[in-house]
Order: sequence, then structure tokens, then C-alpha cells
Amino acid sequence: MNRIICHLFFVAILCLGVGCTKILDIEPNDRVSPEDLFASKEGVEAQMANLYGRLPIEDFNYSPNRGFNIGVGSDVNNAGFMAAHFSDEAIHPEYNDFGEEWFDYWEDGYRLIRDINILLQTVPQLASIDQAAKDKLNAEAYFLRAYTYFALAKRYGGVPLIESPQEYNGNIAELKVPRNTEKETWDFILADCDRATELFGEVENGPRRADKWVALALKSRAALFAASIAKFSHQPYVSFSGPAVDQGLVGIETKFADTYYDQCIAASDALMKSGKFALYQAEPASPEEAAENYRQFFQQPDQYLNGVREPIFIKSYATNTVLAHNYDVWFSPRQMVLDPNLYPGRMNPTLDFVDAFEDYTDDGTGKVKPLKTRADGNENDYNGFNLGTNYIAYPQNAPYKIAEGRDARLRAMVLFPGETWGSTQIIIQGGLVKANGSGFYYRTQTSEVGQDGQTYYTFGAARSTQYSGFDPTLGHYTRSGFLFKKFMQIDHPVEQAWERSTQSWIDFRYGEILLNYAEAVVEKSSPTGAESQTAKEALNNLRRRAAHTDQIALTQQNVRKERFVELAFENKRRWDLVRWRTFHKSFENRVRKGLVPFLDLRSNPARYIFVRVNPLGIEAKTFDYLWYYKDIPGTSANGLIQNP
Amino acid sequence: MKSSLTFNILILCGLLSTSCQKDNLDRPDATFYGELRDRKTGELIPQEVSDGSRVYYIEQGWENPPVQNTVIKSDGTFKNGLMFSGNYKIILDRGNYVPLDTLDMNIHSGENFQVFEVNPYLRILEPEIVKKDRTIIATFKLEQVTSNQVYRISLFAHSHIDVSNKLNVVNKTIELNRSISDGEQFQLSINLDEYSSTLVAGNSYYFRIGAQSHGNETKYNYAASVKIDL
Repeated sequence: MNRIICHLFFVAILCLGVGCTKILDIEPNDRVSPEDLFASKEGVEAQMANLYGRLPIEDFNYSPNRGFNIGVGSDVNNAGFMAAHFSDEAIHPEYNDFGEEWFDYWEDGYRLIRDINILLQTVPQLASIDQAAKDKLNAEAYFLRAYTYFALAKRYGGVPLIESPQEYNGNIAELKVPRNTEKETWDFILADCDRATELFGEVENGPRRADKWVALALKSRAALFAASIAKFSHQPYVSFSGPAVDQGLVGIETKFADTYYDQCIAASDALMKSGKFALYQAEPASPEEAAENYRQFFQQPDQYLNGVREPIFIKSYATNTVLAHNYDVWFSPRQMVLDPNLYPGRMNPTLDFVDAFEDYTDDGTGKVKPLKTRADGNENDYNGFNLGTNYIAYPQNAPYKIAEGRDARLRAMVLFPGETWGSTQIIIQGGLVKANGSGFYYRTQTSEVGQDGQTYYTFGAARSTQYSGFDPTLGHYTRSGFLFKKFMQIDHPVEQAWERSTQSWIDFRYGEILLNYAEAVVEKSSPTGAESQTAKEALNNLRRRAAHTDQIALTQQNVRKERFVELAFENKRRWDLVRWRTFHKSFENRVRKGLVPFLDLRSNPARYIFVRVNPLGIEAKTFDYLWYYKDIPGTSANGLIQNP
Repeated sequence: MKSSLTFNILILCGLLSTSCQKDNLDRPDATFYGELRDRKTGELIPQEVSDGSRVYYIEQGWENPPVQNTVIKSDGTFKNGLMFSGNYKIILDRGNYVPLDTLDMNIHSGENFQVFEVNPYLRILEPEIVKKDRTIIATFKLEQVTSNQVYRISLFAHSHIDVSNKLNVVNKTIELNRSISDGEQFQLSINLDEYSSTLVAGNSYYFRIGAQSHGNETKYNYAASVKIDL
């Protein structure tokens, strides 16, 4: 065996040593040429599937530590890190997050743009399809190109705009295109959206392929991003320096903010007036109904695509292939995933997030109501359990009542201690107070006899497979005190294994469009009365869908809070903090918080109390303002001017 | 066994004979070190231990040279012992002082010592931190060096001597967002009872006053940290 390998090595070295033939000039015969590919309708479809598949959609398979489409050509195991772990939405039970995206979306982006440009160049020459079909292909190409440049622009600012496939004619310098300004880049993205919208006409292709409405949704999102850059990339929000700033490659002059806000308003307005989209179950009878609607909508979006619908653009998956995703194994509670090859419990919503919801006082202020833990009303103490503090008691069999009366969406997204999930009662407990009041245990498994004679455990049960929180021995137990419901397929559970989850990702939905509209109106300098009225309605329609009955004012604070709670875990939050330029201020040596349920044996029957904590092992997070623009890779070779 | 050894030697010889010639680049031959000092008082300017000020430099004579940097240490000194001699542009900005114009500098082989004299955005005058009962009280005055308003003033606490904005367990910050008058007295305090788990009685902690100016890409200015036994 050894000998064979040695022989092979020897042969390989010989081959390498004689590599001077013009082997690279031979036409490869394992590939299809563009002419052959586009000669048939099926070929065109295959190419479109390829382009859509490579689109930088921040979906279930987007991971800030790996990139897009993890599992396709790479290991699916990314430790369960999602975008939410990088913001104030969630913490991870095993690891700390690591600042910013760990990958460069640069070469993949330009590779995709090149293939889209080749498509645009090829379509006019196709003999196999008619003009209408050509228009549709062109429109899709413009949409795909806008989407890809958007992914580049929000990371790098101004980037080289390449509108047709480059050809190498022996002069490498010709291929080095300098960066366009950030304004030119956003204008180009919005213009591509317009080209797509016009060419699509009224033909409907959605929601899995682009049409006019999808292009408008993209424009709504992109214009809002550009407007935010123009408005907030200046003092007193943030400012940068260096050659990239001097040449306008990053940042947009403030005076252009309003034109972008207006473009966002126009695109959103077209969608809102189209009559084709609406909120799913816009007027629930009760908060309970609202919570159930919201949860089911994200669990099975494919069921809600008929007629007037909320999803505008969705991405679907195929089970048992690399095109499936893994949310159901990463984020189910430990009690429900016992296979040692799986790593559950990895989405731990923060207490910061849980505290950001309203209750149903509905007095028109939209004020948030943090959870209540103490009789003295002090909710700013994160020093941990104290025997002398008078905590509010919650029933031993229903600790989740701490969230009672909070916004329906909270209960639809977050799994609270003691709730029944599927047929399992989820036990999340991190501490035990001794029956005689002489002491307590925190995150150390032990047992104590209660006043009723029963034996109780720190983590709520004797064995490590019987509870879901706080055990520090494996990274499978929540550290924040909360687990995750949104998107999870609990009503029709999938097999607990890799690559089984197929619930669709909603990339654009009507709810986001309403919030885009509201934000653009509240941020632009002088909105009309009609715009303000429509924006206020849009904001409150979303709250109405969550069973609120009052009307709150259209303010920056209310709009931002509503985006936080409505769009949570949809991978929007990080970019919201980026474009508002508030990330570096809200994450300056910040520890995201947790809430530990303690079983208090001092009373009979025992009761649950809740203690606010800095979760053990969670390090303070800082977002450096220089991360708003990522470093462009390879500048010494490509000659591009580097970001600040 | 023997024949596989022969093959291995053969492969080794093959690899050695096909590798490049001996490394033709010289090793770094220069050391660049120095200090960042207050132009008025002559004192070193203390820095944040992480994300503090840096000396940025670009080596001339290359196509598309990248910007390199050396961190200025928390005491206000810096040292890069692995520089190549040559002509450099030196950029001093993004710090806790008024940026300097870009300098042209020749770094020669051997040791290069340089003192950069700058104006800190804010000078913290007469800092005093004392423990009174269960409260840590910091008093100080500020000198506003530029016309930029004062953004915020802070009292930080941590068990490490380099306690600062990015390294603290307790942070008492007040945003001023205004210009200040000379001689104006400021006071910040930490009630130890509110931080019983982070500032544990019986241990020692460092406390430090910091202040940050408004303006482009400013950083905190600091007084010296003070050790207090709780």
C-alpha cells in the first residue's frame, strides 16, 4: 500500500515537472458552453436556478462565520451561529460571538455578477424564445444584479460597477476597474431595480422567482439603506476619514437622504396600493390568537401563499439534500434532541430582547414593559440572587406566567420556562433556594428536599437529558433563560437529523414594506400630511395584527422598536443597527443579559422566582465604528482604495 | 520498508531540487519606537488598552502599499522592532488627540526614536478618586483644548490597571454634549451597593476617570488609574 502511494507521489512529481504543454488552452469537454446551454429552454431554466441559488440571501443557511449557503460545498456545522447572535437578539449557549462577519463576500459576488452579465449579453441572441420571454429573463437578470450589488454595497460602500462581462485581451490593467462612489453604487442598484420593474410588466412570477413586486420590494429596502447612509454617516452619528472618504467611496452627502427616502416611499407605496399583498390575519380577536397566527405563519409560510398574501419573495429548500437547512436541530430544546451528534439549544434570546416588548395597556404611548421580577420594582440589578431580596413569585407549574400579558409576538417567538412545546414540558431552571433559607445553588447540579418532602434539583430534573437550561457541562443549554420558537416546525416535526428542515425563508414580506414606509416618512425632512397619516396607519396595522387596539404616534423611537420586535430573527436587526449607525454606541463593552429561574423552596408549595444576571461566560461585546465598512480583500493586487 | 525509505528520500531530493532559490529578501532591519507626548505639559498621553490610538504608516516605493500600524501602548509609548528601513509616510490620526499632518520620514537601519508632540482633545486636571463609606467618588476638572464640545465624562472600574472604556465592569458615564468653562468641577460616583457582585467587598479594584470630546473619530482621554481596596 505504502509503495503504491510512493509510486503515485513520484508520478505526480514527474507530471508537475513537465507541465509546460499548453494544456490550459484546450477547450474543456466537461463543461457546457454558453451557446449550448442557452440553446434550450431547459438549459435557460437550469442556469436561472443556478443564479438564484447563488444569490446572497441572508436566510437559514447564511452564517456570519461562514458565508452564504453553508452546506453547499462546505461543512454544514457552523456551530449554530446565526446573524441574531451578532446583535442584541440572542446569545449562544457555548461560544461568544466574534465581532463581525468572518468571511469576505467579494469574489463570490463578482463571480455571480459576471454570470449575470453574461446572461444579459446572451439573451438578445437567443433564438429559442420569444421577446416576452427575453424581457422576463432580462428583468430577472437586472433584479439579480441589483440584489448582488446590494450585498456588496452594504458591506463595502462604493464598489467597482461592472455592467458587462470583462474579457482578457492580454492587458491585465484593463481588467482593474476602480471603485465607484458609494452614491453611484446605490444609484446603480436602484436603477437596476427600475429596469427590472419596467421589463417585468404585469406578469406575475412570485413568490419564488422575481417579478415587478419583488423588484419593488428590493428597491424599498435598498433605497432605505442608501437614505440611512446619507443621513447617518456624519457627525453626530459617526464619521470616518481617509482617502476612501475624500473620494466619496464611502458615505453619501446628507442632502441626498431625502431623495432616497422618497424612492423608498414610492416603491413601498406601489406595493401597498397593489391590492396583492396584505398582512396575514390582520385583525385577530385576542392576543392568544395573534400569537398563534404569527407562529404558524413563520412555521409554514408555504401554506399562506394563495390570493392576497404577506410573503413577497421566498426561498424554498429540499429535504435530505445540501439545499435543506438545520434550524430544527440547532434550535430545539435539549430535552427534545438527545442524539450526541447534534447540538441543540443554540438560540438563546436575550433578556434585552424580551424586555423590549409592550404589554396590552395600550394607552397610546407604545411604552415597553420589561418583565417584572422584584417587589421593589428595581429591574436594573444584575448582581444575581440575593437572599434578602423580595422577588415576585410565579407558580411552580407555570413559571412562564412571567410573560403573561406581554405582546403576542413575544410568546410566538420565545420559548419560556415551563411551557409545553410539542408534547414536552420544557424545564429551564438555573438555581435552587434551600428550604430553610440558609443558602442557594446557582448553576451547580445538586438536590434539596422541599417542605413537601419531595426532592428538587438545581436544573429542574435529575438527569442531563431531562432539562434544557443552564447546565454548564455541554453547550446545549440556554444561558439566557429563554429558548426559541420562531420558524420551528413543532406542529409537523421533522426527523432530528442534519439537513431535514425545509420551511421556506421569507426574504421580503409585506410587514417589512410597511415598516420601510413608516421609517422613510419619519426620517425624511418634511413629509406630507398624507404620508405621515399612511405611515402611522402602517405602523399601527402591524401592532393591530399583534392584537393591540390603540394608535401610537409615528416617532423614530416607535418605528425602530416596532422593527426590532416584528422583524426579530429575520436577519434584519444587524443591518438596521449598521445603517442607523447606532451599532457602535449600543455595543460598547456591552454584556447581553439573561434571566435565571430559581426554584424557591422556602415556601410550600415551592415557587419560581426570576433573577436578572450577566450570563456566565458571556463576554462584553464591542462593535468598532470602523466595522461599518469592511476591508476590501486583495487591495495590493487589485489596486482598489481601501476603506477606512 | 527499505524501498519505501528509498522512495521517500527520492521524493525529498525531488522536492528540494525543484524549490525556489535561497530566500532573497532581507529581514526587517529597523526598530521604530517612541512616545506620544502632550505638547503643553510634556507628559505621555495614556491610551485605551484595546482600540486605542495607533501610529499608521505607509512604506513608499511599492505599488498599492497598504496602511500598516503599530498600537500605542496604554502608557503612551510605542515600539515596532520589525520594520524595514526606507521612506515612510507617517499618519497620526484617529486618536485621542488633534490629528497631525502626514509626515514624511526616513526610517534607517537600526534604532529610530521619535517623540510625537500632540494636543490631546481634553486634559483631565486635578483628578481625585476616593472611597467614602460605600461610594467611590471621582472629582476632576477638564481643559477643553479644541472648540469641539465635550461628548461625555466617565468613571470606569475594573480589576486590571488598564481599566478603560473598553475594559471595565462598571461604567458611570454622563453625556455632556456641551462646551465647558475653565475651572468647572465635575463629579462622578459609583454606589458600591449597586454592584455587589462585580465590585466585591474585600477585593481591590482600579478606578479611572475618562473624558471624550466630540469631533471626527475621537477617543477617550484618561487620567491615571487609582487602586482602591474595598
